[in-house]
Amino acid sequence: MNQHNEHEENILLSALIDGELAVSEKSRVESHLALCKECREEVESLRFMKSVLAAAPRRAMPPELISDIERAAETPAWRRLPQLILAPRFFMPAGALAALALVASLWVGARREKPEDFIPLEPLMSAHARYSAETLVPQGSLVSSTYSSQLTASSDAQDQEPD
Amino acid sequence: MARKPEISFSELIAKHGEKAYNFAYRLSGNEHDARDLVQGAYAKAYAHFKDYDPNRPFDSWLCRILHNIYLDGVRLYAHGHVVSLDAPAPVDDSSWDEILPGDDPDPTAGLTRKEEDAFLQKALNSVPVHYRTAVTLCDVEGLSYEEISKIMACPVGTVRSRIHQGRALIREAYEKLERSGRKLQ
Repeated sequence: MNQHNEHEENILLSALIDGELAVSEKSRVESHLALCKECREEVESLRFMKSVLAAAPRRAMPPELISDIERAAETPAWRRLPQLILAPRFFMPAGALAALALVASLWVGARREKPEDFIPLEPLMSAHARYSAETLVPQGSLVSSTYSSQLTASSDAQDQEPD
Repeated sequence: MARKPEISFSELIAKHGEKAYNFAYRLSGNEHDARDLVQGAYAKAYAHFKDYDPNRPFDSWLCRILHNIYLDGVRLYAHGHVVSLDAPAPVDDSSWDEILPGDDPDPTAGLTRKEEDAFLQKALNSVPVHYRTAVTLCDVEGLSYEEISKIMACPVGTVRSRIHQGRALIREAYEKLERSGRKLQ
């Protein structure tokens, strides 16, 4: 067999036994075969293999397979949905998408700036006003901050109000 | 313009199912995967039935779908057990017709045929999928190179080359198996 690689007609031998050669190719191969015993033997050997394959026993299609196919074809699409969802071919891409969405949301969440804490000012001001009225907070002990300046301004405004 | 022939899907199953099943069996090497392949191919064919041109052979269209499903399976489970290229031949995967006693006057002849078929399937399993597909379609299903090129989506020249090389490889494997089988007897 390996020695046949030397022969330029080698690849055409199978095509010859399959009846798949053009007229010009066929006559060229046949001319070669007339002179080459080795290729004639090769043709016979390939022809034998072809006949073995052609004679391979045929298997009848299982009857339940026919009814399964017909039943699947008659089943409306909405009834096939659970099967579709449970099928690996759906499950795997869906799982991959879900994992991707999770990673993306975590990434976006990590990049997002933390929102400033909201401290309601009104209760603080009213508490301060109450404590000030009760002289619980000495005027000079307030720490300088945005809130303290607002509170001071608020307290000044109250002081300026006419009685 | 040719009028589309009225043909039901059930008729197409009855008419071409056997061919599709045998092709699937020779590709996958066992009944279980062959069933899955045929069912998958028909389901896909049914879903895209509107795209089918009734003026072209349905069996070629179906075999092409089946072949694509098989290749997808091979790619997905390249090292798995379902469609492994190195899977052993299904010598124990017999139908009830083969197991139950029949009216064969010479039961040993049946055994030999079964053994031969097992060797043949092993030989088919031992060659790469493109060779196996081309040779199966040509020798087992009797399709022309032109039809095979459409199913395998490759030029006729490639089909010719795959059939020749595939047939030679299968022959080599088959002869080897036969020799080893004879030695065991």
